[in-house]
Amino acid sequence: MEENMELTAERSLEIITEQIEKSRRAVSKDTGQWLFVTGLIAMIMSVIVACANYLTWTPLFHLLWFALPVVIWLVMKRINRNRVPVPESFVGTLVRKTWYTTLVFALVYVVIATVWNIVLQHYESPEVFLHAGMHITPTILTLLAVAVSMTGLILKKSALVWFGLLSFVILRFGLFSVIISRVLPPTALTKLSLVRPCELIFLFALVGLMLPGWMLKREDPL
Amino acid sequence: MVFQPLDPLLHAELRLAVMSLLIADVEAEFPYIKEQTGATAGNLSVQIDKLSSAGYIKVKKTFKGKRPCTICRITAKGQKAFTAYVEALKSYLDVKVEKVKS
Repeated sequence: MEENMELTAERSLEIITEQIEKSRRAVSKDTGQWLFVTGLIAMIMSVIVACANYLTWTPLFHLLWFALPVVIWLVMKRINRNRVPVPESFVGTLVRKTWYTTLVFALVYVVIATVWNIVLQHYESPEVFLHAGMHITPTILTLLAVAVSMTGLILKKSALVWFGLLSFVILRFGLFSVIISRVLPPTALTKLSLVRPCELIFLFALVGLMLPGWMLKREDPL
Repeated sequence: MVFQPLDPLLHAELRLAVMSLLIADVEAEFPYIKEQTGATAGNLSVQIDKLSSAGYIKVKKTFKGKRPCTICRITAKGQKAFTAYVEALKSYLDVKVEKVKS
């Protein structure tokens, strides 16, 4: 781009529009990278947790989920080491705040639900626990699905809005569990209860995070 | 119809591109601006100096680890100048639209 004093009004307007669009696409690609890496790591983690729980016959390995944010942060730090950082922008700030709000809600919910469920299990009957227990995974994934769709609206990517909606529908239907119950014998199903939320997380990570992230990542720059 | 004068400092492709980027992103590092505008480092440095001398942007030289890092940030004066430039552009474009209509 060289200095050109023969700039027409149309060309000036074109430059302004182009640069603002470039800035939005840079945010879009950066968000795509985050979604892709988060989705991929969540998928790998769900397979590891499921296998470990299934093989050891304990739900203890669900504690590994707490390591997920740390692993994502470390991987992203390594990926971004040699990349030109995307500056703070209005669109970027909106996306970041959407995800921060979602994650704070998710974290608060996990803590409250875990404490509530432990108290119920100790002091109430299984029937009461069944009705009054708080469902952690579907609620968290619903929050994340909403965040994916909101990100799509902010970045003006309708595909992302649909991916968010699709992942929400998939996880609410429990389609995967129905298929598994049809395919596997009842004895295997009992053991599979240890794996329970992993299949939901895997599916959500694929449809709600990895695929839309990959789509944003491969978008051509202007 | 009276045309509003266009700010000569902004009426240049690269400087306008830099200002448009900084309007969208509050502040940006030199490599990012270079990547987005597709300009050479030398040319970009010259144009950034001109914008900085006019007080449209603020240039901060710092370090990121051991590497030097130049951060450009649009100033209130720069935002005002950019808004005035866009308003002036509108007056030119309005006349063209009127001409097409007639």
